[in-house]
Amino acid sequence: MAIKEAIQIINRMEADGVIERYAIGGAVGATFYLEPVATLDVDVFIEFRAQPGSRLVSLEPIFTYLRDRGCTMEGEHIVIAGWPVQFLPANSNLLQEALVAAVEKSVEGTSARVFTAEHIAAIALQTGRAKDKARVLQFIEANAVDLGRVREILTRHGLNGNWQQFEQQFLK
Amino acid sequence: MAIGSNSSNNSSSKVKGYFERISESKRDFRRRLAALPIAEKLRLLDSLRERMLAIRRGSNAVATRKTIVQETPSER
Repeated sequence: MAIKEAIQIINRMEADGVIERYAIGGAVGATFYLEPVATLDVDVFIEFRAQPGSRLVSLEPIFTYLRDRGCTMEGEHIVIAGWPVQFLPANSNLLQEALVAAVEKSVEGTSARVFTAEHIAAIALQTGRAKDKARVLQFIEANAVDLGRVREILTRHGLNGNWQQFEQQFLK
Repeated sequence: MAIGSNSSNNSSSKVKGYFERISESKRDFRRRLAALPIAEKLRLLDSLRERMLAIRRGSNAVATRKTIVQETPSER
């Protein structure tokens, strides 16, 4: 399974200290809780570290590590085991909280760290594109989220307006 | 008139029932997919991606062919 191989390589990157804590989000993350959602890439959220002596963060160590292992660049993605992977910074309070709260899931013996269903839903509401709202609806219809927890997360991050708008649009 | 109206009501409730069954069957299928072991779901993701890429390749090929046809001068 190609995606499992990609997860194994990302785990190895973490073990080798190339990245700090990571978590899978987006459509692949949602698939851990819902029916599979067709997607072309994998979103991996990470804590970006500034280079020693610099205030700038760089993806270069990640690219170098992966290029040395035969991975190739494809636009803003790096192709790992055939899957374009996007490394995204956990650059908001919500994403940082999601990264800390992420849970370990086992994929046939391979560990994968994934955002919780509630954080995926909250992030989708914050992002707010049509496909993100569709994902939140899927979570609700499948009873795959604790809505109370989602509301707590949204309140904590000043996103109650996003919920109200969503509720008005789709749930009333 | 009454017979016609009843017949129309019956037909509309049959259609409604038909769509409800389709809807329920889709919901059931999605529930069953969601309940699959995660490894199985990730395998499906691999296949879905392959399919999406094949469709894109196909669409691009058709678009290219169409462009060529449009650019070919008429033989008449």
